[in-house]
Amino acid sequence: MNTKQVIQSQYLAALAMLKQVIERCPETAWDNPHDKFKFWSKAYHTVFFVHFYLQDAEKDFVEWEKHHDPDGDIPFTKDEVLEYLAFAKKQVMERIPVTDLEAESGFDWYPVNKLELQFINIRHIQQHTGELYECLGIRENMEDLRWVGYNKKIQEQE
Amino acid sequence: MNTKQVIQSQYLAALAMLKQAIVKCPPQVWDDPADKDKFWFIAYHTLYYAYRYLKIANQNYVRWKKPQYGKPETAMPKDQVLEHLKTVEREVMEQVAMMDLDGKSGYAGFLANKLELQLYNLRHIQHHAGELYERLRPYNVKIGWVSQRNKE
Repeated sequence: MNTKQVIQSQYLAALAMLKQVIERCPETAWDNPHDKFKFWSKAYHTVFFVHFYLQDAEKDFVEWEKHHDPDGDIPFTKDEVLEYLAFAKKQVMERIPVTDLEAESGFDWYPVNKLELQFINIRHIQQHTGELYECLGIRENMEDLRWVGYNKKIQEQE
Repeated sequence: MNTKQVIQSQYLAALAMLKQAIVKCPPQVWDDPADKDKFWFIAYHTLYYAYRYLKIANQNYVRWKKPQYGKPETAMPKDQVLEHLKTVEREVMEQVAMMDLDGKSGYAGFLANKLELQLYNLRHIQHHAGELYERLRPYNVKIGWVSQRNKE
């Protein structure tokens, strides 16, 4: 596998874990009024930045058609976040092949190349996914959330 | 920056986040009997695999004590875990420099190559750092996101 396929495989593995924790989140935990950072808000934030940083630059970013202010009063539903996650997976497959990994990041607050930006983006997914796993583990006593190591379909393309 | 420098920068960033969680962990949380998986255990487990998957070959190195889920153990002191973290930081600089990124993963056999093993390892560090950050949330400790640690 080449570098771009490895990046796609690891993006999709991280997103599969995020999908798992979203699907398993009980309705009571999705928009819990006691949470400073709501489960849905963190899940949406994570997918949003996957989409955002896969673009060439900030000026090229076009909001997802169902986007609205996540700091507002209207929570995204679980189905909406899962739909956005499916869109982000497609973005991974479409954007990575046309991304010049040696080019500058395209986002001036990140003085790194595109390759490092993908690593940062994947780590960002995994950080919040870890937080959400812990949320369900501690509060909902959910111990069977799985680790996903790679994406089999990408590997089978070889 | 070349690929190896990117990998090193990202390892050091992920480890800096794990270190923040360890340093900021209050004493009562370190080995809280209410936790099934103790804070110290998750921190050590993360470093154990980070160290192992950084090795360019699965031989000729000093093995660490393998952490085993579900077995009660005496808590490892925080200083000792932080020493392990320092060792992993050194390994990042030494092992990645010598690594053939196109070579066989050598460990998790289902992964395509050494490059994928490094991204897998990075995700593993970050996932557990995320869990530990969430565990510290009720204690209002200041812990932040670290993007990169590149030194050119």
